[in-house]
Amino acid sequence: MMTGKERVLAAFGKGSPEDIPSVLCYANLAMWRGPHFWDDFAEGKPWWIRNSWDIPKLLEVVETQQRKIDMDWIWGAGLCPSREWRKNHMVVPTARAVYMRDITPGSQVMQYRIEEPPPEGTHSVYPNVDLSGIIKTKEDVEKYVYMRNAETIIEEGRTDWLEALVKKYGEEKFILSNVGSPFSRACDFYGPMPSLKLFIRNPTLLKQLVDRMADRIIETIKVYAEMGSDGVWAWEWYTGEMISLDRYNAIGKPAVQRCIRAAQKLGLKYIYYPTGVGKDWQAGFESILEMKPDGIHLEDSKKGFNADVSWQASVLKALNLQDEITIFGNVHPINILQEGTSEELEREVKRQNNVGRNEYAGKFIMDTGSPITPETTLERVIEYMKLTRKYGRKS
Amino acid sequence: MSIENVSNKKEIIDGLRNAVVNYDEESAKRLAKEAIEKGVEPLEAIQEGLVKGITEVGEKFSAKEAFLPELVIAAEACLAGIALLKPQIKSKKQMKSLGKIVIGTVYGDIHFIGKKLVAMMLEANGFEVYDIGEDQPVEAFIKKAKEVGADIVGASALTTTTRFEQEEIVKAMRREGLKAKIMIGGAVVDAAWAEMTGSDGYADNLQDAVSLAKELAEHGQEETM
Repeated sequence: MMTGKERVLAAFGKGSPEDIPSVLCYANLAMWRGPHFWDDFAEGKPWWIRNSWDIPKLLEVVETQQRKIDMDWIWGAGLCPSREWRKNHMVVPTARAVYMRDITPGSQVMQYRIEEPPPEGTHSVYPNVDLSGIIKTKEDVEKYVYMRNAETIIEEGRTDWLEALVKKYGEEKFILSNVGSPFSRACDFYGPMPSLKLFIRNPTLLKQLVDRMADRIIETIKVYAEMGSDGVWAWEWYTGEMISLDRYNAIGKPAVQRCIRAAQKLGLKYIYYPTGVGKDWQAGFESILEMKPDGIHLEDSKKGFNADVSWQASVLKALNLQDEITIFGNVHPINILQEGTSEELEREVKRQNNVGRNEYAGKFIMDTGSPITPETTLERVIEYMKLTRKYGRKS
Repeated sequence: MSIENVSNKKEIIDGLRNAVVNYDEESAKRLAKEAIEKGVEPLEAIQEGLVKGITEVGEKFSAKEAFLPELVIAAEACLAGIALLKPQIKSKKQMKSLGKIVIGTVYGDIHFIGKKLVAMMLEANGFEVYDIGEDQPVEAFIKKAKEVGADIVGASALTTTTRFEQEEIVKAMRREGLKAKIMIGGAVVDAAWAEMTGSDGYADNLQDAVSLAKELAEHGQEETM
């Protein structure tokens, strides 16, 4: 009997694995960014242990999550606040509200209210900022996009959560850490609207920002490799119809390429998640594939684009990349998982597994195309996972 | 004073259109000022110059000949010109907006580019737009709609995890007895979902959003006649 980790690694290897691995992208939404499954997994623990970073208790939540859902990877094995921050911050629940208290020695005690996340979760991306008045030159980029090298990050104890996960699950599950793409991170950092204007008004500055973000991400990749992660996940949102392919190729692609090579050199699998990619953007998809990430995960087909796994398999095969790049299933989290009948769900899981194993020769990992919705019940997720196991088995 | 030199007037209006099409905000502002100085009818300058320009860029966007950076800069150029010309419109009848629209991104969702562009396009096309921002709870939509007497409320959702908030907005609007029409949009919205939420319509893209808003505003006015 293979472990989850072996299943995932086999899917990144060559040849058809015994069992197709089954995972859920953004599985931490339930734990970190929204309470919709929190009650199912936390078993009475308060929501704010996410804010206080109570690692032993959080591990118990992951344990329950894994017991109930049994994914083959551990999603969200990332950095946590530094040891010093955790020492100097405490959550104070009162009858009226919950507060975070900063008790850093030598400074005034600060207290601010913290809120339970909404059902749909909170976003981890940067808010709507505008740094166009502050970052104007390469020197500004170097000044404001600060660098922390891998050694410092580890020394600060920001890897304690990752270490705890690796210690508990490193043998049996694929440990996945999130890095984001340099391109998206740069644009989020500078402000999405201002960065859109930079594409036209100052592409040189945008490229400098992107390159700097890539440097920063590569340091984080080194941390993940050092601490025992198995792979990294990079979400890209400047793909599809957002910008022209020429701009993606000129500004985004070289930085992503550097991150891919850095991860691969350190033995990590690099999974790229470019959003909005479908048949209509095939040239872009092919350009992405040229970078040879270990895994490519396209979100579920939405209006305006169709990213069916069968089409993905045909593109990769036409480019003779079927032995080099693993593809992911992209079951629609609303149309199929949330709202489809049991028959529709079974049919889709069966179909996608069939594409992965037979049309694409096994370099395939079963997943949903995007995060599970708050309206999906845990029972439905369990039903889905059972089906993925049933049809993922080599007959 | 009205402009006598027809070719000069045409040059200015064409220039305004070209400024938007060429993503040139400075020229849009300069020509808007020139139009005012030379007595070009401001409404004509807006409609025949700036709005035609942004419509052209919108069409290029739909045809995948232009992308978001171009659209953002063109919309800003258009609005910069409108901001200068609009106060110069003298006739109240002419100044009448197509309707008041409250627009925002639903709770838990901070995506804003699509919503912002729709807001800009609606404004450029003559709507009075109240953009309440992102990550906005149902109550914020209701409050603003009541406050301004909105004709239309537009709710955007970009993720599978936040789409259900649109339905909550529709329910709350109906519960509160608000007459405003409700349009929804975003990457995860399609006709089936629009129907399920009970909204008055959805738009697939920018152009459709403007057309839908015009249609809804017209229907709203007919109903209140």
